[in-house]
Amino acid sequence: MATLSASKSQPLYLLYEAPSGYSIFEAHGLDEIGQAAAAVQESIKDLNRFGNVVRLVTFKPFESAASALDQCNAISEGIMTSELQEFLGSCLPKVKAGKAAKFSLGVAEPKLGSQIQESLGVPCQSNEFVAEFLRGIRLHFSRFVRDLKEGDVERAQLGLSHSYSRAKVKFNVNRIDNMIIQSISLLDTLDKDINTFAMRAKEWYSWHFPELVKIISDNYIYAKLCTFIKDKSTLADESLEELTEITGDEDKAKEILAAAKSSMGQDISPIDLINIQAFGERVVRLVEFRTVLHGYLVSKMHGIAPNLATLIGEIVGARLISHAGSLSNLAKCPASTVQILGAEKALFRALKTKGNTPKYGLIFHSSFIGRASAKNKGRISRYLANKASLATRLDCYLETSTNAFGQKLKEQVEERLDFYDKGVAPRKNIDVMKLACKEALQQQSNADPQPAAEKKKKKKKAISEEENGHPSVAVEDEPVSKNEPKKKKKAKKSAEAAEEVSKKKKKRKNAAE
Amino acid sequence: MASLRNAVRRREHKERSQPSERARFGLLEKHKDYVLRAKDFHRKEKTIQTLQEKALTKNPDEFYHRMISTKTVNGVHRPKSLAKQYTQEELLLMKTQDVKYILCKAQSEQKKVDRLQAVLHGLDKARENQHSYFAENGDEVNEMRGNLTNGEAPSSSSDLPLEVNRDREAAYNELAQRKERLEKLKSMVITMSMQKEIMGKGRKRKMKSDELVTPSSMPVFKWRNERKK
Amino acid sequence: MRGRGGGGRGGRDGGGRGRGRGRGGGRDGGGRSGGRGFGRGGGRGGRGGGMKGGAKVSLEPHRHEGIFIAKAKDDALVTRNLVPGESVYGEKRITVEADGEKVEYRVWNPFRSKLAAAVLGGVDNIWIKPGSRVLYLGAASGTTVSHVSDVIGPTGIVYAVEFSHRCGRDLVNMAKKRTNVIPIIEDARHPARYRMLVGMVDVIFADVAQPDQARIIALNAHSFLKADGKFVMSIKANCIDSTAPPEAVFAQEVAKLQQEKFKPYEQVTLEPFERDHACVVGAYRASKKPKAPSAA
Repeated sequence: MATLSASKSQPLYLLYEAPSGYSIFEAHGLDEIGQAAAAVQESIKDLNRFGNVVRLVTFKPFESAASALDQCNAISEGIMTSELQEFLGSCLPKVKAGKAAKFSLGVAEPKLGSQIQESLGVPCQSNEFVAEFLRGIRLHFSRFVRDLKEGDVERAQLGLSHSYSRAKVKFNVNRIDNMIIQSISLLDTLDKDINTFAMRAKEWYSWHFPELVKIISDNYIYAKLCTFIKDKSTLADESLEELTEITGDEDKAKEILAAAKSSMGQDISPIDLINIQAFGERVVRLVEFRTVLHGYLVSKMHGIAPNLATLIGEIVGARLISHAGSLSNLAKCPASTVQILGAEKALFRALKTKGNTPKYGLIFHSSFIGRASAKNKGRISRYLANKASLATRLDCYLETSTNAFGQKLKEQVEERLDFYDKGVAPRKNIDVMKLACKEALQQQSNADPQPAAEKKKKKKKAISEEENGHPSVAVEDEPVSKNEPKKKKKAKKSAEAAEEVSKKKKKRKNAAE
Repeated sequence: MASLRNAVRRREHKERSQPSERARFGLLEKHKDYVLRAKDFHRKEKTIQTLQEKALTKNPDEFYHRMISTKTVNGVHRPKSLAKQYTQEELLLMKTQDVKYILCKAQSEQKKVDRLQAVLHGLDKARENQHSYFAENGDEVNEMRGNLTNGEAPSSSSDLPLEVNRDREAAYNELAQRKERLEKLKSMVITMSMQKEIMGKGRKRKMKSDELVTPSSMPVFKWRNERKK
Repeated sequence: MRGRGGGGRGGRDGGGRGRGRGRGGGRDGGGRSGGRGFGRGGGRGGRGGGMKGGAKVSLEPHRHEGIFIAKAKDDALVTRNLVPGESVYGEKRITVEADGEKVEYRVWNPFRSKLAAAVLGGVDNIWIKPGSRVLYLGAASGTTVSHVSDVIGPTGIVYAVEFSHRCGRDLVNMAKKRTNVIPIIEDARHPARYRMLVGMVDVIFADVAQPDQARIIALNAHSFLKADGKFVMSIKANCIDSTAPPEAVFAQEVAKLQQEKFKPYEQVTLEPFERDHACVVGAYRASKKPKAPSAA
């Protein structure tokens, strides 16, 4: 049973950390209940009895959600924050230096207790006795603190737990791939719509000026011209300059002027012209928005999946992510799936009718496939899919964003193309990957120079270990708060692969015996 | 009158069949049957005779171009096989396609089984699991025995309309059938991919039953430790 | 002849079968008022199979409060969807019209959820009912947690503890939609680390699949489980000791629990849904007059 740990002369205070703030309780009815944990258990069941045993001394709510999160993180690691120190210092009686304290403080965790003892000199205990009290406080907490309404504690718990958990899983708003999926769909829709509207504008304006369609084929320039040249009879030689500016070609501008003079289009009223012009303007705005959206998508891709974007291009990468559903889904796909993502209809038809399965899907639109000769298209497609799969996994699981790997992988694909064309032997994969790791580290150290030296040492050690063929030390054991870059994923993968190969060899040896 | 015979017809003679005592000898052959048989016999005889003559007057130096691609084995002419000859790579490719096809079917079957199992929980089936209670002492045991709610409430399925029950039974049957089919497909995939491996490259040997830890009826192969390129 | 929705046997000729009597006695659990709704099953959502609208579904409550049984072409355990219109993990949804309002239920797959397997295995009482507070250890991606959240309803709370970050993301996303789920991404072995986020609970459900799970549950119970609170633990024999026979492993775990002030009530194996798994239900710091383990 619990040892005697408090008496009337030595009151027992209890620190209870609530989601909304810190609180100190005092166990004052100790003599009545006796000094046993079992007795405390009995008293917990009834609020009134418990109220006679324990009373609230102070309750200090947290200032803000951010400070609550900080306190929660500190408590989870057993660290005493300055706010806690201040709180305890203000509420508990002062401890004179050199003299033993006349009271003791019960805490839930001995580690925290020792810290408090060190800094404030308050003797702390965290035995079964204290644990029973804390249970009671936890059960009846909402009744003790008068300001808290029904459900406040639960709401506070909900809010705090969400922020705590999100911080734990490193919920980064900037790395949400949903934006990519939405923007690429919007881009496709926009393209279709712009095309439709431009055709309509061309048809409409051709009633008035039919020759313009034959001279200008581009949708954007046509729409701009149609808003500029409202009525073709107003076109004079003075407008040649502006026409040249819009079309970008002086010859075309001259052609337009000539065609305007001898045009067979009908005249139209100003009201009609106003409508046509307004519509033309809409088309112009849409095209401009599409350009902006494209720029946004490119920048987002470089933020979210830089390696994939560098390797196969932003648009193709965005299409892959959109097709798979999310970046993590794409990372889970094997490379053979990445190769034929987008050609599912052809794939299943071939599997069911025992024909030839397709060689490429969405990957086809990257520049490499076009450059390969017909014989090698399939091989390049497979190689590119393998590298794209690696790039996706790096993007998904590396904690810092870098495109060093993407660049190196791209170089490898180029070398492979050269090899098929000319027979030039490409570099070995392991060498290229080592370079990539080094470059990634450098980029990282440029980003935050301060703890770089120590990180570099650790990583160099790991890289040299990997060179020797020993698997590198697992980096995941480091505490989460350090926010170390997990560059080692790449080298760790090759190390793991090396380990697996050696394991397989061992298995075969065992099977042979 | 053309002929009195047309006016007054004689009784037509009927053909006599095999008497019942001699029924074991089969059909009673008449002249028309004999003629057919004789003609057939003589036709065959003539054919054989012609062939004999031809064989006697055979030219030992005869040559026909078909002789290049066919053979005579033990005096029997063996034409080239009508089956298309595939190379090893083609065969391997076809085997891969077969395996992929069966795998495709097995995967779609698996999806269907999962979908069915998610909604058919066997609420009316007999329980296959074990349910045990804990008691502190003998008194509690007796008390528990008394309190025991004997299983679940009586099944309410009988209260439902007939069509619904029938549909449910059909769904369970379908699930059972699909599971069986899935097992068969999976074993097919395994055997077929094994055949493919055996056909492929790589030095291997068949292991004898006394070398094996768990001897099985299926042959067991062991490959050399060579790195696959 | 088949009536629509709501109140009991409206529209069906009940007289001949004497179901009135059968109802009260046969089905356990004091006067459940939710009648057997004959509703239209439509709108199967998520990625489940599509059921044509117009088919009739019979929905009746299970012995356990908060859980229902849907019978039609299906034969499924369902819970009432707290967030209508959404599937958490692609499970089938059933919409039933009762008293003119549409209620949506989600199918609870016993092959993916040990709790559903235990319920179907005939456990007498799972102690998780509307309004309970549950501490769920080993929440994974939150598939079973979502069903627990459905059962306890908006008045209950489930504290879902999961250590893995990958699963944790899915758990947090699920908790965004369901406000009675409190996600805690922390190691269940150290309940002191998340003591700020948890209140006292009525039931602990543990599905952690660790060799020291008895100790994990004990630590959490000492901090967070009220006296005479209940625990439901799922034991995987393979994970505790893969060489020993399963019954021995289960007995060993129960013995470990008994040393930590737990009183086991019953044990159910989870065949045919899982192999060599069992579910143990019991009480913590049971009061001297033990409550009868029959369904409440």
